[in-house]
Amino acid sequence: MADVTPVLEARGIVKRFGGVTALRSVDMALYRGEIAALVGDNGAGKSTLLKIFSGVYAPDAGAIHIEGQGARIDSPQRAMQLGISTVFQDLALVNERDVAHNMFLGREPCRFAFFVDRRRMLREARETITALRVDLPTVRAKVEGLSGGQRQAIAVARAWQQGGLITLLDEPTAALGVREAARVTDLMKTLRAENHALLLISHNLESVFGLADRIVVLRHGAKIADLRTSETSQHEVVSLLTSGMTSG
Amino acid sequence: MVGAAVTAPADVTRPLTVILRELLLTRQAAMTVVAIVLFIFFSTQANNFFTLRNLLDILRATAFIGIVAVAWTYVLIAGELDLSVGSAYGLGTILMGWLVVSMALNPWQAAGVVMVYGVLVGLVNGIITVYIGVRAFVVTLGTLSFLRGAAMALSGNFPYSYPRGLESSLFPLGGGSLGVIPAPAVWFLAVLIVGGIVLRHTKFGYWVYATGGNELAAREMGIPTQRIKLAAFMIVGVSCALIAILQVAWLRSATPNTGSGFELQVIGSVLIGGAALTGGDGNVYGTFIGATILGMVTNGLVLLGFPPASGLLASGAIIVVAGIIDVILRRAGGTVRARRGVIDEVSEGDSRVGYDSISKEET
Repeated sequence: MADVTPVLEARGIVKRFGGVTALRSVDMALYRGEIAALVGDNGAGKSTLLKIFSGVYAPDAGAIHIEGQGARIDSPQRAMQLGISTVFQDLALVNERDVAHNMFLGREPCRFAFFVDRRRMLREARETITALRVDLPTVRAKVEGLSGGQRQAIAVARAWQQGGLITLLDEPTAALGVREAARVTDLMKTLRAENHALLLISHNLESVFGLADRIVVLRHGAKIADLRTSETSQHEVVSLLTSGMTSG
Repeated sequence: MVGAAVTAPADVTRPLTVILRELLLTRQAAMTVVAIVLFIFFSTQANNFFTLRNLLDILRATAFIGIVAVAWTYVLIAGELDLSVGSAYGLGTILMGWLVVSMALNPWQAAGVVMVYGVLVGLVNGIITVYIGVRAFVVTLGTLSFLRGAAMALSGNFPYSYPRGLESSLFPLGGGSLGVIPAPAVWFLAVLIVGGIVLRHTKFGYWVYATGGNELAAREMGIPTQRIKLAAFMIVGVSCALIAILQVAWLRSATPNTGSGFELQVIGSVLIGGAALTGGDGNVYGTFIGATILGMVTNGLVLLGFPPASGLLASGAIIVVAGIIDVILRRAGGTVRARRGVIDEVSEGDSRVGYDSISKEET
């Protein structure tokens, strides 16, 4: 069950790009042990909000609190320090490098100050893959040789491995077949079971209803609904995100 | 199901047979074979190829190219290019001449200034490419021209010569030898070892590969890709300054068109060595083999009686052949990977047929 106090709380988030207001004073909270889904039509502001939480964008107004403390998420690095891991839509994987390096991209473990501890990297990558039951024969494989599902799984496993509190996922199953998508959603459920807070963006309402505990609906940059999945229906959500009204 | 049965320790330590097989299917292995074949060929076919004097000449020539080529490897892997290396080298030698002959600095002081000059060249190329955003090809083409022009203007198109009686402890660093090994070759060895270790084993090296492999991904993971690229440009600049200093220390003179065409040999070495033109792939050993091949071919063809221009012809041909070998190896590598079952998702239900179902059978 989800905790009562939010691990992340955002209030009054505003974001403008030139003359366009992408987000209009959005309030949102994330709770540990809960999967929240951010849904909305194209241009509703979902990606923008996620990128603000992951440190890629800075909001023009509004405040964010993490575990009760005010936080400024200035950069992806800072987000990671604050315990936020992001699985970007492009997965942020380097094709020519192996799984082990990709799992530690940007935070490679070192010995003697700047020598990469490759053994440790291989060992810990293998341990993570095994613990999450990701189907991968070897962590020495170059990422470019892997299937879409494996790549996505590695990106999610990396987020788990970073050991934070919050994992953000931008369309994690969009390009995957049914079986592969199931593996990735299993990973997300594992993360939830370990008391992570997850926020995912998805176009696929059916999978959202199968996975998320809470659904937040954005429309034209504003939050118009924040519903427990069990208390709503696909029909109602579709209605909300297209017309802003419930079952019209 | 595939994957469940693989044991953890196999990932960290592997049997020698696996390591060897993976090593041998690389471009670098193929090029090593080519280098050995060429060596044997020239040794048996060309008079005076296999003499100590000639081999040391090849070594010295290769060293000058190789020192810059190692640095260039960093730039290429990081996803950039630098066409200005020949001109940077040339102007560096002219500066060594001018500072000592016209400005009455002693050779060590001149060397210090030239080193700073090298850093500055790298800085300029780097800042305009990375921070202002002009393509490296364009920027370094510009600096190629600019620096060559500066060398000609500064020297009035005349060579510099150090006064006959001038002595300096700097000179043996470029012109002396360690036993029979010429000094530049010793420097080359040092650059190979340090450059190779840093690229392969340090965090900086890993970040160079990440930056060139997928800059967006690297940035999303917090890697300072702009600083990495800037550092790579500066490393190249310093390498050009270094060989300029060594050259003038050795010859005690400088001519304004030193280094013309040098960039082709540097780039050729790196490409023959297997570094991908698109970045993200390659290594220092490959560059070493590439430089060696070019050095042997240029030298050997002359000894066989061909006109000096044949070196250029042959280098060009080798670069293209190496590129073709690369394509062949990539396709072969893809098949090996499929056989090892790395591409799973083949079974039960996924809609990919043909190639994948074949590889499944072979697992």
